[in-house]
Amino acid sequence: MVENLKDMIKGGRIVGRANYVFTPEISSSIGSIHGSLFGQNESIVIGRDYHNDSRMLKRAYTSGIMSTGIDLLNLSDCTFPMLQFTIRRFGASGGVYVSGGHLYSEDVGIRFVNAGGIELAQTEIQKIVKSYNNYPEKVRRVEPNEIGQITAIPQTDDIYIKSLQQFVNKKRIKKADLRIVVDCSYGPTGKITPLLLNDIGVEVIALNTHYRERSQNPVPNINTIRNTANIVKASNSYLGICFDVDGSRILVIDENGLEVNFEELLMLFVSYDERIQKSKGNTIITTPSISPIVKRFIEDNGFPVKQVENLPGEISRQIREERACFAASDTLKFYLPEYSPFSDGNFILLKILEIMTNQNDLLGSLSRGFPKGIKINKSISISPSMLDNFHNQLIKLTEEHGFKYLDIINELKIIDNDVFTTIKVALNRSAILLSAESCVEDTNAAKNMIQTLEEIIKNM
Amino acid sequence: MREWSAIVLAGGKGKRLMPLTALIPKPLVKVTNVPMVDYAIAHLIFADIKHITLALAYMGEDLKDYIKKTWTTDKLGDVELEFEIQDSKGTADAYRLLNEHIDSEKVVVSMADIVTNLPMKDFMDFHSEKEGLATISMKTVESHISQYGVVLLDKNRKIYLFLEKPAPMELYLSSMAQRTDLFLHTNIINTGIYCFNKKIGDILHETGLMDFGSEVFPYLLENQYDLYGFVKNYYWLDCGNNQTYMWANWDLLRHYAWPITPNGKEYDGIYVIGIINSGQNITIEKPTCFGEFVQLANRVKIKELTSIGNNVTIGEDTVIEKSVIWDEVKIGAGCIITESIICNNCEIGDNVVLERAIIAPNCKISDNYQIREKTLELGQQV
Repeated sequence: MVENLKDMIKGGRIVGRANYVFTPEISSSIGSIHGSLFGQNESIVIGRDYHNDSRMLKRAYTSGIMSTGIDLLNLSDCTFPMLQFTIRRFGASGGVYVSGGHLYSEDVGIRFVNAGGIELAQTEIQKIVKSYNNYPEKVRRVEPNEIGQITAIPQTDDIYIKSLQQFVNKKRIKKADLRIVVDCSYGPTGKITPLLLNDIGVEVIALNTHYRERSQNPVPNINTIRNTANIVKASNSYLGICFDVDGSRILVIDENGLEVNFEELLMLFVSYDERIQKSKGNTIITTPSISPIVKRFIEDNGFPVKQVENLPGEISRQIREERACFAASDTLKFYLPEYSPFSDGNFILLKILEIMTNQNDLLGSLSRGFPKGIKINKSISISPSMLDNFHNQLIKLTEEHGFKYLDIINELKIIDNDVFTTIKVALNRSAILLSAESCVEDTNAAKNMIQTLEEIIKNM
Repeated sequence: MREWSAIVLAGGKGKRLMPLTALIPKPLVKVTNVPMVDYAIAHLIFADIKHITLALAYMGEDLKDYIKKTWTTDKLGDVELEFEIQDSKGTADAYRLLNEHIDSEKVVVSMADIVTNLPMKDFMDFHSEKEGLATISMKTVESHISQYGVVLLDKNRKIYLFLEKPAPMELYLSSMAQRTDLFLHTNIINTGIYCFNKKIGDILHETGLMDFGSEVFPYLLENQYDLYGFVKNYYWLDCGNNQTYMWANWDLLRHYAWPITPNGKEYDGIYVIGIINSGQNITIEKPTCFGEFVQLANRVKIKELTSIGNNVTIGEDTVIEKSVIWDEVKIGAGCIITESIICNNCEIGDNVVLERAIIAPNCKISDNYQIREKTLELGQQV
């Protein structure tokens, strides 16, 4: 059993491999500690992804928190943004989501959310860690007749779907008669997105909507992304979307089967979203590792930029403080505060559809004219057999070399001495694409970084 | 009889804003060097309302003196401004006690402790068009219902239901049973500005209800009166606590509440009321604002989102960022002040560090002292 919960903190969250590190006993203790932070009889929302390890740990957590007299609204399997939405919609005091991650394929993590639908700050997580180390000193156990209730709320999907639609012009989207391909990555979004899109008159080709046990190779991966791109082309669809498993972000493929990257999507929203356009003068929040060219583009469009580290919940908190009109982190998360202070893949998708219909144009041509940073690019051919698990291997190597990195679904962004380098598998051939940009005007630093990474990749 | 008149509710104690309200009533708390009550009066005059009555209570005499001194005939023109110090037991009670002063068909009820650029004229026209008994100004907020409550509206913005702080399960079930032409809004809030038809006065006398939000509106709905919600996306902030008070200062400096701007003449994002008496190599970032008789010693840095009041002296090498400094404040040399509020008549020594600190009026802080995320109470000396 883990003695200090601090050892399980990864990326600001409590994470561990089920039964090896993250045991039901630990989960139950966390439940008791977390519940004791609320007042007795308060309600919180709980949810999880499809997998049995998440299910097991959620059940253990549930017993722990019930023992402290907290009532639970149980969503069972749901996306993370849906849990965040539910907390706000029903006025719960907080929530908890148990899921495997894209980044650590074998790990299960637990995320704590406050009453505003925002992930808890690091100081709050530290309170739980500290309390665990003195367990059960600060735990409140209630009388048997005061143990918390657990209630299923099975039709929240419908409320969520209807609410999402209220924030876009669904009549106009319906009129556009769109057809899109959506890969739900075997996640709970499989039971949301096809219904949501169908309801607003968009024809959907839905992929991977069913349950599949967790595998070594997380999804979306290069194979599922290529598959989506191929189906977009073959079916003459207008768009392809690959959801991250928790539903908080999406990878976007245009009508030509080409990926639309983070920077292009960010500039697309800044240029064409009507609400953002109406909010000129209000702050836009980004992570510090966005391209200086993109930052200038935002500023030239009349929005001051504030840069915030990409820690859990941090961007959401800054949205509130700055009353920002938009936020984006280069992990492909986009925050549209008119709907929520968090990133929701389904809402991002709806907003992209709205932009396409308002502009009466396809995504490929809308995103074509945006400025691009001064980048050093390199393509390295590799054997097709290496591609399958390349992303995971790359994460291991990056960690071994001590680089700071961000996981961007099919891409890693390495941040080293003011140089931002993206590494990803090419969508249409067996090659690795490297692209480095320096945030100071020094191409040598970018060149050196490319060389270093090229050597690492060649030695794989 | 006039078509419109207005009542400004300015009697609040501002308990949640303590210690800022230790010596002054909440409507006199300044946001970017303008007392909040002035924003409320100017807002109504801008909407062409010619008769305004202020309902005063806590420290009513002080507030009355201030308003008399500030809102002189030359500023008011043909606008009639009246005061009534009263001992009301709620917002509706305050209205009831002023009912005899009302000489119009329709009445706007506003508050003196909020900052908003609500399009007042549009709001009044909406009320006239709908011909309901009452219209409530509402706003969509990025927030959650545990703070504000829930409202059920139809497509014409007619209000069917208010839920103050509903239990989560109650809301879930309400959502399930909802008619398709009604919308349960959990992110729309009542911003505390209302339009009424004169008849409301009679209802208040008959019922004896005390508070609009929790008593009068539910009563009107129960008794089938027509109640409408004016929902628009405008700037509104209740300066109810120290955090939102600070945000209001920042927002006005950032022009989020345009056309409401800080007091003073603007020089490219820097607002100045009087003259800044400055030493050498000072840095002033925008947006910031300054009152009268501000003295900045050599190398002082005033960074973005800072508001400085009247008669403030700041010592050499001091750096102030995202803070609100009130009047008659003396700050020593080498201080670093970030996201803090310093109230009237405070003395801050040299090399003091204030980070997210609230310093009540009449405090003294000795040299080299550091205060982080803490509040000093009235007259405290450390």
